[in-house]
Amino acid sequence: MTELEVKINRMAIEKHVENIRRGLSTLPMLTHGRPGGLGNLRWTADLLLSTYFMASHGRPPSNGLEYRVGRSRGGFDLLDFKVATDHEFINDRGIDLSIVLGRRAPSKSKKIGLPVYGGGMSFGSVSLNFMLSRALAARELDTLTSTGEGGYPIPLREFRDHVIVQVATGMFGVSEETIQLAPIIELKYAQGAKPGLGGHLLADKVTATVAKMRESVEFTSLYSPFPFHSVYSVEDHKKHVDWIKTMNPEALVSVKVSTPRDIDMVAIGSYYAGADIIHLDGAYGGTGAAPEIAKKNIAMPIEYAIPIVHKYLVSEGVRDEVTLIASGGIRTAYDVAKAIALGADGCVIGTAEAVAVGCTHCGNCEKGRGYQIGITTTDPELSAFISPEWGAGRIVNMYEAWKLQWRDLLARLGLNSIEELRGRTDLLIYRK
Amino acid sequence: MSDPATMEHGSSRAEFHDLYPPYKRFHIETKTAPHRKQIPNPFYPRVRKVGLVKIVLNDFLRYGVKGFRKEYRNAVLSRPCIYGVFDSKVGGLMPRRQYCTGCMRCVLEYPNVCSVDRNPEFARFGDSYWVPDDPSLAFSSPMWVVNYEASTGKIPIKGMGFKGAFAGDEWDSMWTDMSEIVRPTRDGVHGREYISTLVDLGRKPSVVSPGESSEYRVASIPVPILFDFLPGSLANDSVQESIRLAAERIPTIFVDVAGLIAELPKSQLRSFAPLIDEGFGDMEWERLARVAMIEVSEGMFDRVSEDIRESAPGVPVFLRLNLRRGCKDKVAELERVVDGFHLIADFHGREFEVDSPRFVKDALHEIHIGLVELGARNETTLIVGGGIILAEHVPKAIIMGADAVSIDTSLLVALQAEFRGDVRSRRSKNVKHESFSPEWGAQRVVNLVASWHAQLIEVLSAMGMRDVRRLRGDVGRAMFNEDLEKEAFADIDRA
Repeated sequence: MTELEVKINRMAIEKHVENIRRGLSTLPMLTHGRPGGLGNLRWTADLLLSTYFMASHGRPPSNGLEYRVGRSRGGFDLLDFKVATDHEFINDRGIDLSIVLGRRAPSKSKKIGLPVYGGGMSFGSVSLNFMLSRALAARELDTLTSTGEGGYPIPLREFRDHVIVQVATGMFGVSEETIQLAPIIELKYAQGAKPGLGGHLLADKVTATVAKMRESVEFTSLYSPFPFHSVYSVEDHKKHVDWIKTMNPEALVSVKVSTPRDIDMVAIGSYYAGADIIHLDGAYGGTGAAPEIAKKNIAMPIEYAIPIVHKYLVSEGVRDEVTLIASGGIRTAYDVAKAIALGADGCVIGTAEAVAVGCTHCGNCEKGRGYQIGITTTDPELSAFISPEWGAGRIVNMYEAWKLQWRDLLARLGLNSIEELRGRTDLLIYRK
Repeated sequence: MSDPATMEHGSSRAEFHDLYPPYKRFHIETKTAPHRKQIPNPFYPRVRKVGLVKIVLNDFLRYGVKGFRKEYRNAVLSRPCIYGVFDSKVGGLMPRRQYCTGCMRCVLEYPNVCSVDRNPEFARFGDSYWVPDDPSLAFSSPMWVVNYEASTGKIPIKGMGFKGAFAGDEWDSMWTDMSEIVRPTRDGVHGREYISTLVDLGRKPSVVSPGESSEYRVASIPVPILFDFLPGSLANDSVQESIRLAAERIPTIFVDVAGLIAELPKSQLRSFAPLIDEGFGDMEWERLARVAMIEVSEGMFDRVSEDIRESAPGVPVFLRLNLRRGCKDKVAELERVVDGFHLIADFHGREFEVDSPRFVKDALHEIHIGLVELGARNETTLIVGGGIILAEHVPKAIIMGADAVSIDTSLLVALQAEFRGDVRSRRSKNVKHESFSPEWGAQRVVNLVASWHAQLIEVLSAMGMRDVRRLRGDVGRAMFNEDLEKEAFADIDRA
């Protein structure tokens, strides 16, 4: 490419970036109405637009956009709290929103400023700029983000205290060095969007850089194996946890599992194997690419898995020793609060962070150059649509709006901290 | 042919392979079979022309004089779409709507000029069971998915999480199970381990008694999917021939009128299940022994059962039963008389009852449990059809008690028949046909089954299950919305 061509290309990108940023501010104002093709039952147009609004303004919208629930006719969308809320938010800064990760070894426990942290999105499934946006935001918010299973890009190391290293079945980019970098190591046994199947990265997105990071072949689809072929029993699982703890004794170990019928047994097994965090990833979780049959049909939704596991861990007398984290279809501040009321300690967020920087939930992440405004792409031109600072600003703003909603809700419920909400199903009502 | 045990040293390689054919793993060959007719795109992008002209003028002004230079046109005319909607020579003045993926970038960039709506043409597909009410599920709708599978033979893979309703009343009221640490799993998908999808259709003794003759009449097919009979009003000659060819190639079994037995080549007789129903006249009884299985409608069974047993003593005989209340008793009454049952629901998966027809999965499960209680389940076979239109319905039907499924309207959709309203009944007149090459049609059907087979393996592999026969009736491998709701939300107040 000549210098002039590069310059012209940059001009075109600048034009589009300017337009997109303006659009993300304009659309939630509803000046042009709700775009007809936007949204679906889970991520409705209102949820998408209100997330854009929160990411721009740091507070929820007050123009009639529904920012709390979708229209999926079940789960979080039919659960509600027994208190009325309105648009006059009670912003009591004395309410504690932090949670403690890893309680069984107090010397290793880690406190994060929010009841949420960022979920694994691999380099390759998303752009480096989006990964950096998330990491910057995590540092600013005193929480964490995760590498996903695509390796640990060098620029991310600046944020190492806020970056979870994921060890998944493909073992892409996993080395002793990256394991030793992390405050938390996440053993990914399964993913909610494709339970029992392992990761997918289709050929178009496996560029030279991605292939190098994953030590694979350019433009060849990568299907991670399933399961870990070193783990066929809970005893093998314990060896895995021990292996991680030997390499990095200071790190907390998180075990990410999907939600099978015997999820309570899986959770207790992980506890006895030494896990500090049990991370349940429910059936309706996000993904860069997954078979349609798996997304819809395999494993149970997170709304059911949380109380089943929480109650079982309580009955076994170990609930307070382990941190229970939920993910998979958690879209809003209210979903997080409901998940905690059902029994989780906190949640992992993925898609909502992508929506904050302009994802439309269109589902084109798997194909060709990926999503065309720089989130789920490996295309250098499209990646340039997001700058880490701009992306981080939007993610931080979205969480500021969530904080406002959590504080308001907890104040109305008469609670002083988000930890007090855990397992309080008596505060919920099921509108079915 | 000589006995391998006594085969003389020095026998030819060909002779040896005749006796011991080399092992060949079951595999369905796929080949792209593009759509004959373009499926209406679910999305419909629009551009306000005056607004577009203003944008272009603004862009020229933005870049000043150099904007008019040829080299700078790429920046000035750079379009807000990477899928080619605005890539015609006149760009947004004539958007190429078929390329729209609904990504909404054009709307994000120019909300005052661009809009992307749902395409009413897509919603007008005709059959409510095939196109959901919610247009946002267009690319996940059975209509779109089956067409994709039939054209590519691949597993549909998409980005982002599930977009639909939390749960439904029919197939969507259950989820299948998985395990974090068992084998065989994903390796089964890639062939390093083998997951068997073979099923036996017919009668098998539960216990082998040496010295006693036992009844053993089965037809084995490598994938638990049969093609059901489609009357002439629903399927023209091209459709019928495509189905026959596909059944022969996969191989599986197709059900069609018994009179066809005289016309079929020998190679297709092995895949044929003649249906002897009220329209039955006469047929070549001597060819009956060569068919895969025989299907008899309820009203005809007494009239032809003796002739069948005499002409084809080794061929399994199935009773075709329309699902309705009382089927459980009928099956219990006849389970010793026939070798299996083909249970039929309407095309939307409902029983043939006027009042509160149950969904096929519930009616099927009742019959399956009835046979289990009789201690007869392992000796007979249940095939179920009607309302099975997606790959995921196959393992779900098997979990609910079927040994195999038969498909019907999926074949029509794969072959791009046009539905002009609901096609619920086998007497429906709402299907429009065109003639096409049976080669193309057969490949579409082969692709469809290949894709469903691969997806069945994915579901089995997620459970760590090595054999589809073990899945039959194993409701422990499923989770039901009703049960989970009771268990998980037991202590939550209801509004």
